[in-house]
Amino acid sequence: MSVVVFCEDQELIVKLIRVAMRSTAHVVHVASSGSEGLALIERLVPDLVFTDIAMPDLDGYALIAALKERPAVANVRVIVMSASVQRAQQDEAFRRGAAGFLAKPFGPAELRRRVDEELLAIPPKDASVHVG
Amino acid sequence: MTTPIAVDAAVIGPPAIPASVPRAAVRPTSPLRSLLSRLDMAVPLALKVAVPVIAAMVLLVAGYLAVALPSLQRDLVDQYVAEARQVGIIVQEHYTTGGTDRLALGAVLRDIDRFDSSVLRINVYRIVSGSPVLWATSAPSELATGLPDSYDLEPIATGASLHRIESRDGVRVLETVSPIVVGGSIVASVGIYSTLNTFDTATATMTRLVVLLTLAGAAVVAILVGLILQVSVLRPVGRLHRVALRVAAGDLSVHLPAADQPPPRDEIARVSREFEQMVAAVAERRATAQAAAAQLHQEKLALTRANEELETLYRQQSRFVSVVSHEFRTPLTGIQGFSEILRDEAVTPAEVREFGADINREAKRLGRLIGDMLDLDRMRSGRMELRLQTVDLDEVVSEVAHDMETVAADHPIVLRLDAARARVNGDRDRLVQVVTNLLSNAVKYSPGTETVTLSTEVRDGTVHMAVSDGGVGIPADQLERVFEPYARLEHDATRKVSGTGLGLPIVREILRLHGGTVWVESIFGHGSTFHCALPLVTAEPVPEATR
Repeated sequence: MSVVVFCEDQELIVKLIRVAMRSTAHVVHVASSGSEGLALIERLVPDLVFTDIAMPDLDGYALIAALKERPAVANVRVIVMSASVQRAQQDEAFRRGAAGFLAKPFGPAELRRRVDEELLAIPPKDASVHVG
Repeated sequence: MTTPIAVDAAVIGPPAIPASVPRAAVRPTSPLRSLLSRLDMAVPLALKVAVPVIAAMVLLVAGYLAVALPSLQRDLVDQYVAEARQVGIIVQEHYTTGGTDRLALGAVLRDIDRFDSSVLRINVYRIVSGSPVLWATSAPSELATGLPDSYDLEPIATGASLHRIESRDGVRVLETVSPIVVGGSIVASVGIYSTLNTFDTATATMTRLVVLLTLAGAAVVAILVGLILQVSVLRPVGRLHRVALRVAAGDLSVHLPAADQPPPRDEIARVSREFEQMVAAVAERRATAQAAAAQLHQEKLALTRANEELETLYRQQSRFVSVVSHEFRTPLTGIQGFSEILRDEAVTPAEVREFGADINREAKRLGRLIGDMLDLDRMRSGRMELRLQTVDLDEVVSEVAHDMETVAADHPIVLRLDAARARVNGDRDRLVQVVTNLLSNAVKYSPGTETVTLSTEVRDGTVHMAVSDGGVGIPADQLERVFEPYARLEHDATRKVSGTGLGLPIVREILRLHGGTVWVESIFGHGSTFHCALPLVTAEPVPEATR
């Protein structure tokens, strides 16, 4: 069972995420702004984070930067989801520290598949503890 | 007076053949020609003129001395020779009348002598067995003293006719000897000795006079030539020289004579005029070139501007594509996501209705986006046709406000309409669009429950409409941008506000098409007021019944 945090300010997409993820065994938490997301991630230390870029208070990139500064959550895998899907915009996401990019629009099946794939891509937690 | 010439020569340059000399002159120069050319360049003009004048003067004096003086002397000799012949005739008479009386002959000679003051004496030599013997003289004292040693009597003995000049005690004496022939043989010679003192004094005076006159003439000629040189050569050449220096320094302004003035006959004046005309032509060409350069510069600026505009257009286009892509993908996410959920997943009947409504709303939003985009494009490209009619703007405002209240119930809308009817000539649907866009903007950018005020005011043939909100306001540096497409405020407080980013650009275009304007006042954090001005209908008011 994995913990996944979504940061998304648009209500309809939040609803879509909730409906899509309700059939999975993952624990899903949603924040509707960047600062809310940061607090949630610090508290839960989730396995995976999906974040929108354009959000109030703290945008997606600022959220990633804030996470990198906090040792407890610095290694949390963050995937950017955005409707700005041009090559340059995707490149910027990776440059700013995103581990992956999920292009809008997406369907529920695609979202679930990406969540599973990204969870598999995370190195084993024990190993990281030993190394640390 | 010679200085400008010398400098002029320096300006002309070394006496090498300039490139502009006609081809005929370009041939191998002999050393002499080269020397003359160098000399010609080195000697000032005044000196060149002075030398011939001096030479002419010298020639004049020399000619006088060589030709006039000897001629005068010859005349004198001829006179004495003629006198001697006369004496010869007298002597001959004496001979024939048996007058061998030397004293009587001497008296005759004295009488003759007395007539001419320059004659020192007259001697008659008798040829005795081939030798001359002084027979009679006008100066009897000489008979006693005999012949002077210095006299060469040889020619007298031979009876030759001669004249010669001897210098005695500093006085030049002319001796003229003439033979007396009797019966075919020479019996005697007459010698006339006259002093050249008077003659020499006269010629010396004359020579002085000639030299003085020549000098005076030369001076007059020199002054005249100098004046002419100064006035018609040196001064114009000096002026030309100064003009040339100015031209060399880049100043091409010359004072040209009137065009209708005939070309001067004076060569230097002509050269001056031609030079000035040449400079004027060069100046004109330079002005033309400068104008062309200026024009080129202008064209370059225009091109640069056009290029910048194109770049701006390209950036706008690029941004448009980016924004449109983003704007379309957001509603599409809802449509795609919920349609897939409805198709593939287990949902309750209530969820079917709910998700269906979500899909429908997002599809409509997408439709609005496309509609706005096409509207703006048609307005901007001039393809939008207005269905013009007399529109009561107050009515439009009231209607839109009423509709909006049902949608945004938490925002009280206050209407303050002018008592005078605001009738404009316009497209009703488009004016509804204007009020709707402004009002929905006011509501959208007011996150709380602030009142939105809609007012109209009729004044000076114009209806002035204002939409005020107490919302987030617009930062001063973004006031100008709000009417540009997709220039939605990028501020935290407005991130959540959804829109096409085309509402205000459409408002501006519609008002422009109606001959009106729109502008905005805002205090960031305290709300904005959008002002519109539209011209009122100038025709007679529509009758009350039709309202």
